[in-house]
Amino acid sequence: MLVSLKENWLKVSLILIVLGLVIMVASYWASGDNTQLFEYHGVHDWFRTFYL
Amino acid sequence: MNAQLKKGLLEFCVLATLRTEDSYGYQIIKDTSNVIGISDSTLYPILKRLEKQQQIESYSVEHNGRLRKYFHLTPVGQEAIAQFLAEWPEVMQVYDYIKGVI
Amino acid sequence: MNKIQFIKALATELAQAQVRDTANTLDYYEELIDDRLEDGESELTIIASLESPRQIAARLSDERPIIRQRKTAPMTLALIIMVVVLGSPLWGSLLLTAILLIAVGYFLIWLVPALAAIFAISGIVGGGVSFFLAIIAGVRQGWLIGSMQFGLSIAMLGVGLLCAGLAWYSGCYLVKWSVSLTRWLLSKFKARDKEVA
Repeated sequence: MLVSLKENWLKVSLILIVLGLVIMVASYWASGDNTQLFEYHGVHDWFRTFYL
Repeated sequence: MNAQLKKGLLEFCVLATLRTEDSYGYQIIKDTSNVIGISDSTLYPILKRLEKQQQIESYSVEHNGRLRKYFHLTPVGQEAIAQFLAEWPEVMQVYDYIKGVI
Repeated sequence: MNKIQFIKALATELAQAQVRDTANTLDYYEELIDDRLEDGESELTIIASLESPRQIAARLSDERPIIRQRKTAPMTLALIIMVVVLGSPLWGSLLLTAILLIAVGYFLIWLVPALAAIFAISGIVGGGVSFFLAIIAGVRQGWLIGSMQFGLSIAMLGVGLLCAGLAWYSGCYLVKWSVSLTRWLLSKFKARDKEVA
């Protein structure tokens, strides 16, 4: 898989970017243009990443 | 002959010797010696210089189991002879001046 | 002296006098002696009539002297002068500035692939980690947020991969370019042989 990745890195990377953007736009749109939902309120403690 | 004067003339003498036919070292010395004194050792530097100036070119021919170097007059060399001959009137002028005619 | 002795002596004298093109000279004299022998002269007469090998070599070295002068490369000379005057703080700081400028030059050149590499690593690592944590975020805070993060992490992966490719290719190209640049700079400091005549 790494070999095909090495040959097509440009295409794969661009597809991933587009795909990611599409999903982001889709979820934003699905939330009803609600930016409030995606904002983070509170202290940005890094260990909160693993707060399960 | 005066050494400096001879030095100037020798090159052209050698060129002229090659005008009729190609020749090799010893033969050139023999032929040119009829007109102007030239020794074995004086010829060699002249040949080197003429070849460097592309007025002659050399090639090797087999003779009695050894290689003999022949020299051939190039068009550049012929031009040099022609130029020498064309300049001769200027030389005569100097001669007349030294003589006291002018 | 016979012919072989004469030629040998001539070879020695020519080498000592640093005459160029000794092979041609030896050929000429050997040919001359052979021709005269054919003509009937005796070896001794011929050798006697010729100049001595030393005289021949002297004449030829007069004709075309090879003066090889080792010329100091201009950059090395300039550098030496700079170092000598280094005692004075004024000139010392000038030299330091020059070195720093060259270092900055190299740094700037390598900035592009370095930055691309940093973006690549952060994009891939960050994207990868948040890809998996998106699931957790989705569970904890709702699938919309989760999918937003999911999309973001995919985009980050894409950017990281893109930067990785950029870093790789610009790095390869720059390696070749800076190697040749360094060689060019160093060549300015190499002393060069200059043939004066």
